[in-house]
Amino acid sequence: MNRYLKLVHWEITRFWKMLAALAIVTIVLQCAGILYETHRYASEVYDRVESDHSTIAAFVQEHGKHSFIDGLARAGLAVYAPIALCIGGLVLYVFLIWYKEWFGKNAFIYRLLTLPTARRNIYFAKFTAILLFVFALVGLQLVLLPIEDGLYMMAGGDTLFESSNIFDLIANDRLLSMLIPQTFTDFVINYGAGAIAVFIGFTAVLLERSYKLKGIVAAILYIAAVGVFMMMPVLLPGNLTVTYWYTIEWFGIEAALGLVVAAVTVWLGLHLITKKVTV
Amino acid sequence: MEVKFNNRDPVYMQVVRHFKEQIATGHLAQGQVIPSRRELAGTLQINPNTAQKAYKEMEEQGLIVTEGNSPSRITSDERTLQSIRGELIADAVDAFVASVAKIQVPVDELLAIVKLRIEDSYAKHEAEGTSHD
Amino acid sequence: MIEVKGIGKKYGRKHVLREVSFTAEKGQITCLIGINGVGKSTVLKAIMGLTPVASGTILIDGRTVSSQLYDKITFIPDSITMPPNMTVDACMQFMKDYYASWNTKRAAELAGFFKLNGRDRVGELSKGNAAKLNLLLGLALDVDYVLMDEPFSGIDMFSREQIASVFTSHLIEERGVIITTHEINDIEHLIDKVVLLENGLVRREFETEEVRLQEGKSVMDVMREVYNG
Repeated sequence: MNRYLKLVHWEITRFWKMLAALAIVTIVLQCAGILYETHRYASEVYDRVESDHSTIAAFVQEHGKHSFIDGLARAGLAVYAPIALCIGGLVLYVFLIWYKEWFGKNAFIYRLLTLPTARRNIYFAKFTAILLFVFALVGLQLVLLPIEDGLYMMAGGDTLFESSNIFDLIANDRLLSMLIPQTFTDFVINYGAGAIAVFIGFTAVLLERSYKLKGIVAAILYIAAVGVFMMMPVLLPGNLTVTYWYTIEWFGIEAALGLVVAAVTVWLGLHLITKKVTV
Repeated sequence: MEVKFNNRDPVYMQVVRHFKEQIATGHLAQGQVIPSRRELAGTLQINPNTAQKAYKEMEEQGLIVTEGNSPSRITSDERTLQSIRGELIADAVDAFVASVAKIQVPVDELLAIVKLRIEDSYAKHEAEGTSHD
Repeated sequence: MIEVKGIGKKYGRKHVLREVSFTAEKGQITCLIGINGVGKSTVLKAIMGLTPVASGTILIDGRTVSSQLYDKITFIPDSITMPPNMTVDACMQFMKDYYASWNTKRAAELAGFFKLNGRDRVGELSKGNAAKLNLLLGLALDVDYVLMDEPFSGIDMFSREQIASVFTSHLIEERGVIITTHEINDIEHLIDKVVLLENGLVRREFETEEVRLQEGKSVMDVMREVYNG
């Protein structure tokens, strides 16, 4: 346990700079985007009011105030690109967190595999680290939204702009509501599926590290098999299932299948790292 | 202490021989404390097991004595010390005789050559010795 | 005792190890000799459980290798395996954090002997110093067995001498040591036992002093016989 925690800490120390970079990019891009869009909208409105010989009050009367939800939507790419970057970075790191150990002449894998601790601790430390990185970035986004809302109001003023309820905002946004689920069930589904995906990624890497080219083929076949297994209820003959089952039953079946996949994948990964992997 | 080892004779025997030479030439006096086997391994750059084996051999031959936990010393037994010198000379001469016998040199001629060569060699050694000091 | 019993391994279609068997005793320096690419490193990795073997067994004091044994046996690869941005001090701290067998006093002693600067980064060390740090990280562990892959290759004369002197010191004494090398010259006097590998087989296994005593041959002589004859 002790060494597992040390390994988690070790993984964090080796990634925190990258994590910080992702966080800074997110903060800077989102804030800049929101500020820019706020000013652009304000000047658009002023131009229009001026040319129409109208007043701001009349404009607001007619069109309503510009909410933070609208503001985020206008900022678009500046908000979503950093999120995509963070997701992409972490997905890449699911693989790099293993491959970096084999990089270069100074392959750290020699040391890592000969630590006097069960190798499953290495596996789970890496998994825990990925999970923590995900939560760190999602947490940042969650904290960042109200701050950005404040920034939005500060920059624009409350004559033309109004702040939004952050929970409504998340609920209305497909990407954000996926990352920050509204219900516990959604949380279990989204993050459960995510965790299984990470385990599958780990096992695929370990297959490749154990059997090289044959391992890659095996990994592709394994992923295909998992796909088919998860689709089993739909693929069953007659295709009655989709209409026959209630949502809750559907959820239960998929959850059970997911658990089986997770167990088999983790077992295979641990078997590979303890018995089959090669430096 | 610098010793040039050859690779074909057992290293421990070469170490024993080295000690015998040191004793015969008076570099090691009777009763003198000798380095521990670990120190010896370090200075001669040999395996500690080999140093151990050399010391065991020297103890069996009575060259060194170890009492209890105190460090090993060169023996004070006059007879053993005397025999070392004789043994070294006999060994060297035997080897020389074995190789020179094939050439069938008359004894007087051989002795004259040996005398000349050995005097040269001693002179050279002396010169080196003084220049070093 | 480390017992290697009939291990075999293939990379693709190539048999790296066909059937390799030998033993290495505690308190002795055993040297695996063979030309490059003969599978010497693979043998060490197999003993350490860093690569699986297709056949045969390996026992360390009668047990198969597992993570519990890594406080009893250590491996010093042919180049340092710590991340380049770590300092020498950080490397030692890392070892201390994970290994119960880490001997802080001995580590400090070795760092002094090798004249390593704690604030230097791994990536900036000279080849000789990197080799010394690599050696330090292994030798400061109070383990019964030390496996070293080519400890003398690719470093300057002075570092070689320093490293050789480690072999004659208490740092190695009473441990079981296996080293690999492709050139025996400098270390003939240091080793107790030789295992000659060729084509994935052990061609000869012998004690160096025994061969000198019984046959009047140097290790080089025996190698010549085996490889040419």
